[in-house]
Order: sequence, then structure tokens, then C-alpha cells
Amino acid sequence: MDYPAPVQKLIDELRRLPGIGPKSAQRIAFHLLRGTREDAERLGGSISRLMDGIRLCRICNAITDAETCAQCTDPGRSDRTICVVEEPHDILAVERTRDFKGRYHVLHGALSPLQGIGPDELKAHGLIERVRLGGVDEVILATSPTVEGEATAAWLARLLKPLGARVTRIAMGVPVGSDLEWSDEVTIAKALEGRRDY
Amino acid sequence: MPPIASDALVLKTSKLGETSKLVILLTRERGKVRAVAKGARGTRSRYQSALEPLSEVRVGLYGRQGTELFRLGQCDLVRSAFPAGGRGLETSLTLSYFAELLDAFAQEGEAEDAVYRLAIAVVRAAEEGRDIVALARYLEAWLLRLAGLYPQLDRCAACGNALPSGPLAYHHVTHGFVCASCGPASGPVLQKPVREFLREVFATAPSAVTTPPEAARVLESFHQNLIRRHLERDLRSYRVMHDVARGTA
Repeated sequence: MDYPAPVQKLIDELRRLPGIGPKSAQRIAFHLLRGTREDAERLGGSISRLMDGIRLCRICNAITDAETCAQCTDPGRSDRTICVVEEPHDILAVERTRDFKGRYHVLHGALSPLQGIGPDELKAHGLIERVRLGGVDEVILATSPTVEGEATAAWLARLLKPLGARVTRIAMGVPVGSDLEWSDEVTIAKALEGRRDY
Repeated sequence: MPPIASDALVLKTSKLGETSKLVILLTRERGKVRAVAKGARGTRSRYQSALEPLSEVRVGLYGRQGTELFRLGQCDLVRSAFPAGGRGLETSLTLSYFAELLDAFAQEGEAEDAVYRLAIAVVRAAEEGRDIVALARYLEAWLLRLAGLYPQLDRCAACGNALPSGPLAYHHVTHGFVCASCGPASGPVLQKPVREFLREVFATAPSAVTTPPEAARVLESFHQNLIRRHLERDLRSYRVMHDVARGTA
């Protein structure tokens, strides 16, 4: 049985979202049908406004609804430290620590030779300019602990070190709350490599 | 259904759904296979670092006879290429190039023990810190040869006579090296040190190649032409490798 065209169209659009298969798309569509017109309009309006009002921060490339993001305009943060992350949502992960009080820079990806993502596809130029302008003491490379994240960190370090800033890499190792016995050898080797004096 | 157990090398992974990965493996038993690793992207993934490119693993694959997409069960890390990637940016990027090259040349579903052994030997040589440029030429030369695409080094491609020692003159039409009487060359001429490097490549293990990297560098464009001609495309990792080198030079 074919659904009426508007329902089928909604199901097709929902299926394009990450993690939504045909069954989930159908369930969401029928959930919306059972709801009120106001509920549907509120959701539709949110999606429309998302594309109208959201842009990339002109300084750090984070997602924002203004010209510069909240982290870049916060006077309580230090300009002397920049934490470099791959994706905008990685900022939230660092912010959850409540320990970092510097600025951010979002690359919007990582070097990935296998996916054909090279330097031109990343937003690193602004970072180089920020460091070149001076006033930055340390750049923390918080890219993922993967082959791609490591390659990106090595590439950025090579570009940033000649500019005089201290370049550091976040530590890698055993997650808090896990069991050493179940960690693999690469993880433990990295944890040993990054050990510190007590 | 009992799993298919095999030694394997991880060639590539890509995101699949919210938490899973699609993995391309070069297996000893079945050649190149694709498998779904469920939950591989979660922080509590049981695969941990085993699915990073060029990890040497022992896998259990589930799927019906003739399936094109397996389900990855157990995946025990035997040896990781992660520390090799830590040797520097060039090594890290070149290892990605190795993975793409192997992916492009390996046959799906056909066991090729020679290709598997070659891949393992080259990755291990990179881990030992051998010259990465020489290893790249080594892998290219052997993959081309195993695919039947590398020109003979000692016989004229036109008349079949033995080629004299000295430079090798490539002839595009015959797709091989030609002697003086069948020449002239219509392609690159490989000088004696390059010929010696190739002789060494085809006679020794990658960890034993000792020729200076200059000879290996000369071969790069020759090999790239052969690869491009065979695949009818450029490898993405090769382009990225050169973009990075240009930007950091």
C-alpha cells in the first residue's frame, strides 16, 4: 500500500537523516500525524530557522547564531590558549570538563587520505593566522586518537611550531572507570608513553 | 552458523548508521571482504583500536555462503600499525596510501596469499622504521607485478631478446622495456641505479631493501602512470599526500 504523497515525502526526507531507517522514519511520521498542527508547525519552524540563523563563527568556525560564538566573545576566557577540535560538537565534550578556559578552533574534519580529505578541505587557515598574529602561548591539539586525528595533529604541529607557539597534544590512554585488563595494547602503550611524575 | 576465522589486515573503515562501521579487510583466507562491525563507534566498543587502518587482526566473520557483506564478530588485535604512524607525518600519510593501494589491487572474495604476505611484510618494515619512500615503491612494484602489469626487466618487450645491462627504455605501445634495435623509447628511461633498485625489490624482503631513496624517488612517476593506466583513476590518498607535502615544505 502506498501512503498519501505528503506522508511518503516526509518519510523519504526523514530517512535521509543519520541513524533513521525506513521503520523509524515511518514511526516518526505517524507520531507527527497523531500530534497537533501546532506541534508540527513548531518542528517545521525550528528546522527552517536552523538554516536561516545558523552560521560558522568568523573566528573559530564553531556553530553560532551570531557573527562570533559565545566562546570567542566570553571575556572570562583567555586568548593565550587555543584548543583545536575536529567538529563543533567536540567543543561541548571539552566544555563538560569545566577545566578549559581558553578559546577554540574547529577544523570541520581531519586529514583523511583514504577519504580524499586533504589540507584544502579543512578550516585550518584561520588557526594559522590567529597564531601568526601573536598573543597565543599554547595550541592544544585535541583531534581524535585515531590514525587520522594523529596525522592531523602532526600536520598542524609542523605548521604551528615555526610560529613560536607551544604546541601540545591531548593525552591518550585508559578511560576512567574502565579496567586495565580489558584495554588493548595500543591504548596501554599510549598511556605508558604519556605517564607523568606523581 | 560457524564463523569464518581468518588473519586479516584492516584496509579501511567508514561510518555506518549511528554506532557501526563498515570495514574493508584483506583476509588471508578470502581476499578482500566487507563486513559490518556493529557498535564499533561507541566509546565502549569491543573492537577498541583493532579497526584502525592496517591493523593486523584475527577475525571471525559471519555470513551466508556467497554473501557480499559479512558481520564482524571477534576481532583480536595481533599487531597495530598505530605506532608506525607515530613515526611522522610522511609515514602516517604513506601508510594510508598503502591501505588504499591494497584496497584497489586486492580482489574481492579471492584468497591471494602473496598479496597478503606482501602487505604484512611492508607494514612491518614501516613499523621498523625502514625508508618509507622505498617501501612505497616496493609495494607498488610488487602489486603491479602480481597483477601481471609490471614490464619484464630482462627481456625486450618487442623481440624477446635479453636486454643488455644499463638503462631501461620504456616503450608505450609494447607496454615494456625495449632493446636498442626495437627502440627508441617512447616513455621514461630508467637509469642503472633504478634498475638495480628494482632488481633488489624483486629479490629481497622489504625490510632488506638497502638502495638509497633517490633511486626509489625516480620510480614514483613511472609507477603512478602504470597504476593510473590500470585503475583508470588517481588514488585519493596519493593526492592528499602531495597536497600536505606541498603545504608544509
